[in-house]
Amino acid sequence: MNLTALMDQTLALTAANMKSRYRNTLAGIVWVVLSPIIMYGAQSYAFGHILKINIQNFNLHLLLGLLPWLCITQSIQMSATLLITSGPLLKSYNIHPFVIIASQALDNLVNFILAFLLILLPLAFYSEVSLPRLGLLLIPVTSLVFFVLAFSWITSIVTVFFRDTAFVLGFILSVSFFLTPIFYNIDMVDEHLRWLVRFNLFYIAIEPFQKILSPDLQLFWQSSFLSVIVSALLTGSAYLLWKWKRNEIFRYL
Amino acid sequence: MKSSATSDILIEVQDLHLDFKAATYKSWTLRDLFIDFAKNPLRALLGEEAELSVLRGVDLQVRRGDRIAILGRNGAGKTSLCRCIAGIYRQTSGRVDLQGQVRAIFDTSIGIQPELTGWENLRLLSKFIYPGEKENQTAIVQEAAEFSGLGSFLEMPFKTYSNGMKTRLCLSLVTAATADVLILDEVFDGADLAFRTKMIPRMMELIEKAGAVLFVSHSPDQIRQVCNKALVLEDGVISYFGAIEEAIERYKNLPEFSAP
Repeated sequence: MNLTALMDQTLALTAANMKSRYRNTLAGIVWVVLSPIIMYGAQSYAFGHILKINIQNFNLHLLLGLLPWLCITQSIQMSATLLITSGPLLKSYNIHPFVIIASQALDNLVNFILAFLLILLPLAFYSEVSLPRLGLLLIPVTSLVFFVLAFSWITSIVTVFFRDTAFVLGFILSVSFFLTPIFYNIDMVDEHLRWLVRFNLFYIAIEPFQKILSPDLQLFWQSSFLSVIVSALLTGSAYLLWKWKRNEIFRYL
Repeated sequence: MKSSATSDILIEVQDLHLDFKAATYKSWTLRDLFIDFAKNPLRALLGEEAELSVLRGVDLQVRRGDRIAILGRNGAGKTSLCRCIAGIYRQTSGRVDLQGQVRAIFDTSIGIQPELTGWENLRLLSKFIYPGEKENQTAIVQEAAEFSGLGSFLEMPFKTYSNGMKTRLCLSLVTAATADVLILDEVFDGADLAFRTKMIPRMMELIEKAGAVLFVSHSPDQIRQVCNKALVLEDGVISYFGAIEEAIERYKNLPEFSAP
């Protein structure tokens, strides 16, 4: 099957997923977009005003960390059991399982971009960050897409063989939220522990978003480069895992 | 798998083997894995995985106009053979050469989105069943909807359908356009007698127009109606390929199921 047909199927399934999810709801997509905005508002108030975390442009820093984080975690968690729940469908028709995962990730990505823009644009208006600089965010967003797709693809495959992956993953993600510099800065981490943060894959994906605020643009390019490399490696790993376990996946669904 | 350019041979299967790693089918949990590793780390890391041989040296030629029934006891490898030909499974060794497009359906009571209506599921399914025919998809969906005879039920969510209605919908769609090879794996089972009777001439017409059919069924009557050849699979090996009546007789006299 060619790439155009795969993309066509992914887009059709994404649209169907969204239509299906928002049918018989009061406000449809509004809830999904509102949820990260409310989460952002609560954390902004708790960490910025109550705990008074001292970071320049804190609201933007939090936004640029929290929303990609939510996009990553929601996509991974929602995709984890997707191959299993789609088992009957995948075994009935000749559907590439990646289409199912990609449509879920795309669905989350649409929600992420909507929520992101809704908060980013007003905040950017009142900040000193220039619009052309914000335009550079396209690089980490693109890298994030591959990161999310690959990570979701890997976890959904692993879940086929180890059904408790979703549970373990939920736990790891809960802990990782506090170990990833989202509402604090990496400079606040003890120097001898900072290397641990450097190995945190989630932070590698999120860091270029935050580094867009740095006066030194070099830091943005460095973190973006690392993020692209990690996303490419993850994508390659996901592909190899699929090639290796393809038959067993179908058999075990 | 690759496409060949030979005359009327649509499928050529040569020395097809399909094995699965047997350890995959243990009900592993992370705890089991840990215990297994703790018991014997070397074996856990380096030990060879046992393999389950599902297809063992299958050779098959399917020509244009062939309507081949695939018979065999449960676990004989019928569905696995069809999935290899459809490109869902990758063979461990051997060759599957195809000419033209294969359309396979293994269960006709599955919709993609149960929350969506019959119409919406038809449109969505058409993207997956007819990926290369974007410009014809609307006409195919329209024709399938009419043939299904579901009428105003098409406006209802798919999840509200009975199994028979789901089968009507999916089977109507999968037979709405010609295919070089059509693989039908026990697809009539959910349909009622009236719809089955309606479906047979449509399928025969479909077969006349193009290609061949691989038809998996345990029903001798259905096989006699649809097929002109039959093969019997035993423990992953074709034990007979030829006339229908002979195949049915052999199938009836197969020994009790035993795992390979």
